[in-house]
Amino acid sequence: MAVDYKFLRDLNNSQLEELLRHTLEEDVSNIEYINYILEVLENREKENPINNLSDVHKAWEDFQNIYNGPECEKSSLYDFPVNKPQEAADHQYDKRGRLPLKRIVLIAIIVCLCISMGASALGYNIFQTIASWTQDMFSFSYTQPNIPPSSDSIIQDTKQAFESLHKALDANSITEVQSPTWIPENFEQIEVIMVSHLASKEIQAYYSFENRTIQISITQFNETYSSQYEKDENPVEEFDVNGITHYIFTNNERSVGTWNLNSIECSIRGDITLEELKQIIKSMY
Amino acid sequence: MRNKFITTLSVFLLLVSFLVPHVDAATYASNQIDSGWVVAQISSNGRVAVEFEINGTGRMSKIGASYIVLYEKYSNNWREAGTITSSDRPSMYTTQAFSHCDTVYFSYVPGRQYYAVVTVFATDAQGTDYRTYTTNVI
Repeated sequence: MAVDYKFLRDLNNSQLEELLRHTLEEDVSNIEYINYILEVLENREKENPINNLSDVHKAWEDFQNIYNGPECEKSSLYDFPVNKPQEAADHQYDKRGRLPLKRIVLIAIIVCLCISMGASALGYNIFQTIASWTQDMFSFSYTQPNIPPSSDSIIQDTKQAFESLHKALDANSITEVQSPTWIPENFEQIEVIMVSHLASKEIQAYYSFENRTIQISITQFNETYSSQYEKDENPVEEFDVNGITHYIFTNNERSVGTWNLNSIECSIRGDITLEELKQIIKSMY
Repeated sequence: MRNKFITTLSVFLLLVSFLVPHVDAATYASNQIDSGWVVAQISSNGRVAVEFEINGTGRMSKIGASYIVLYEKYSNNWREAGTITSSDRPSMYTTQAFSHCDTVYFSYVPGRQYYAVVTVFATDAQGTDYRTYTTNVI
């Protein structure tokens, strides 16, 4: 016996959708009934195309293919609680359908943390050194994350002399940079010392010729620090050697070169020309 | 919405700037000073350790720090928590040297924030030059 479903036309869209949902949960075999509901909804959509209802036949086909497979037998389409996701969704968007500011900030923080953790895992540390300069100064700022308390009873204010810069670097297992194989003519080594303090271990090599000096510093920091170099109005030149950017500038009559290798800061300062400075740097790799 | 975003971004950048130590920008090329650095940290014995280094442009007749001021945050305001001068602690400077480094300790109250301002100097036959370095907030 044919069933008359005309009464469905008297129901509004919400009621029809609810009936459709209920039918799909309880008795998907009543295809005629389901089709009728879908047709009513589709006709209303055609008459008033505000709602974006897709083609009823295609929708039914999709339902059969995607949701009504053998593995879905005896399973409800709505196993999850219906109300809670809706409540959550209400909070996810503001009245204009956009994410609220708090959620944007939270997402930004999470993204930053993910990037920083990923970078650390790959051997990069985005918290590390920032080089900056003005007309009057050049500075490195190094931020060391997760710093444990320093044991000042173990490392404090020790000074050790070495025969050469090469031996000092070897003794400290510093391989990122080497002792220069070239120094301007007539300059002679005065002394090489290693000074250990609470937050740093520094190797200093001094060379001189008459009243001119060259100082090479290689400092290993285990703390957040800031260093400053004096400079005059001449511009900073970025000098790349071995894939590392060396910052070259002048402090009145003196030439200064500085660069950073993770937590190791190196500098060469001396009464030499910029070309001589560059040649020393090149000989350190 | 846009204003809120800009405000939030500004606050974030301000907070980040406090994490990184900085040095005063109003400095100039120097005939006596080449470079220097500062560090502040909590040492394992519960003190604030302020470490500094200054490098001269050559061998200096006198080089080091003249005074260090420690600031602490108390009731949302920064106030002086201690001062050490080179008169109190002669090891803050040395003579006839290219550079000088020293660590100075202050007492510490757990839970409070601190930073220090270090005034360094270098003297040779031409004169004396000074710089002020500010540590990170710890």
